[in-house]
Amino acid sequence: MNLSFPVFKRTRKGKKVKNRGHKRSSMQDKPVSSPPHRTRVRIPLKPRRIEQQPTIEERMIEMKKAAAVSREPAHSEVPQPTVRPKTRLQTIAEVAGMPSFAQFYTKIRRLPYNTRILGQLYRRGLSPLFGTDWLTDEVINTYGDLLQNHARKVHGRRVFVLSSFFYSTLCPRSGYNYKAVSRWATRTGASVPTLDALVLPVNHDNSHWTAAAVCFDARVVVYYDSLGRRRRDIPWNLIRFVCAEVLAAGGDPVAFFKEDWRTVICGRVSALDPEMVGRVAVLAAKDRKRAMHRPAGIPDDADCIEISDSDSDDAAPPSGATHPEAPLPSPRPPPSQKRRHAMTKRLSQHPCQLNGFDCGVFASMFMRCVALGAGPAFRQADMPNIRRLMVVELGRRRITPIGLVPARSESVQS
Amino acid sequence: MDGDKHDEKQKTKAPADTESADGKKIRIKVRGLTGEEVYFSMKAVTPMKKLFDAYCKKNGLDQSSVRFTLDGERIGDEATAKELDLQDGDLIEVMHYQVGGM
Repeated sequence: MNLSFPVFKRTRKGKKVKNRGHKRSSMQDKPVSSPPHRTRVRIPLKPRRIEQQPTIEERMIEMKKAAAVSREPAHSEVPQPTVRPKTRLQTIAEVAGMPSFAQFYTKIRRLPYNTRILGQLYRRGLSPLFGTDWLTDEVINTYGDLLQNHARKVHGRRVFVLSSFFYSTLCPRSGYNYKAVSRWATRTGASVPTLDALVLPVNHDNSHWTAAAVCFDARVVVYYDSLGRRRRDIPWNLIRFVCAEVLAAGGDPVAFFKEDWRTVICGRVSALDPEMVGRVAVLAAKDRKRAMHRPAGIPDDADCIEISDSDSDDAAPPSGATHPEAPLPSPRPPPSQKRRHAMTKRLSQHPCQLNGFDCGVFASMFMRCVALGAGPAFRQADMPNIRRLMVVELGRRRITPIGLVPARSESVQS
Repeated sequence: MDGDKHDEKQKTKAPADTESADGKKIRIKVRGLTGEEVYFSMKAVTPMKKLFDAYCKKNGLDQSSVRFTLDGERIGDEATAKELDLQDGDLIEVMHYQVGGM
């Protein structure tokens, strides 16, 4: 208990006095809880003895030295503008602890329900993020759009984030339907195999969110389930989709997946089975043929429901909330084998969910890490702050750079 | 019966090229949750919200429970066929909303 107002108690005579005992206890409470990452303590310098005081000449030399030191970093930074400064990014807890962050969060929370946040996401659609509710497709898909734009603009990565409806259309309850999604990839503006990463959230029977990604730069197909169910079919269906897209781009899928491709399924790394790739490629060729048949248009004598535009009673559309899609950056040279292996190792981290409501947040964070070229380094303890972070990011319409703590530290701390 | 009559009133045989004073009408195919297809005819400058309203009213759906998508991308309420570059006979798919947590 650390109350800001003084607590009074009445004396025997009925006079109000400050409750000193309470105050003292609150003072004792204060220094106990200090977060572990702020343990850096500044040790005060020893005061110089009077007889050892330096002369004026010595002081002048010291001052010159200090000035030279302070000038040095500015000189070293100027000639290398391409190298990213290696400053330590703030952790989620530090970002969430800033007063401006809390202010903005409260501001968004208090908005009226029909306020538009971003695209088709309104304040009412944002409410699952406040508290412990399950996330909806609105939040996850809007966050995906935000991530895609950020990854392209700031990180220069050729990332395409598909909507959560992609996988449910590609693989409905029965079978696999490439034809239904054959036009979806045209929205990328480039052929799929030239991308850096293809990221998608996956919904399971309206009860669970997971995420998957095909990292073309790291040559990995990743499937991430925060509850750790190893579904081999989802990565393989994605490989079948990519095979069809490689065929569409005029390539050979078997040759494309020949060298050094791996799957990471819930943290377990394994090499792609070339025989299986061959079989999938045959199926993909058939899918592609079927997709070539264009559907019949509307027959001339079809009954159409007329939509009148006479009653223009609607108010003018709310402006300023559109989020134009960032163009794809130009392709970069592929990373070396060593770097690819390092990326695969990073992607094989597998933070687990320890409750029954956070999987949407886990899936979105996985999408975030993959889209921005990192590994999934977050943990269950961060989830309340990450929910707050997602609210602020969606409200600000931009991604806040944060340093994610490695997932390993969870096992050390808990 | 009343509903049928109302529907018949709305339905009109749309010729292939309906030219009107301030815009050409285009015909749009909407594929529902169960795979059935409904055709709509509207002007290219009319906001899509009108189509969504009409579709939801016809099928008795709550608009907050469905998403209208074009090639996998959700269509905004204020977007028009002109902005979306919709051609005559293009397909809009209806998706059910998704949720998950466990």
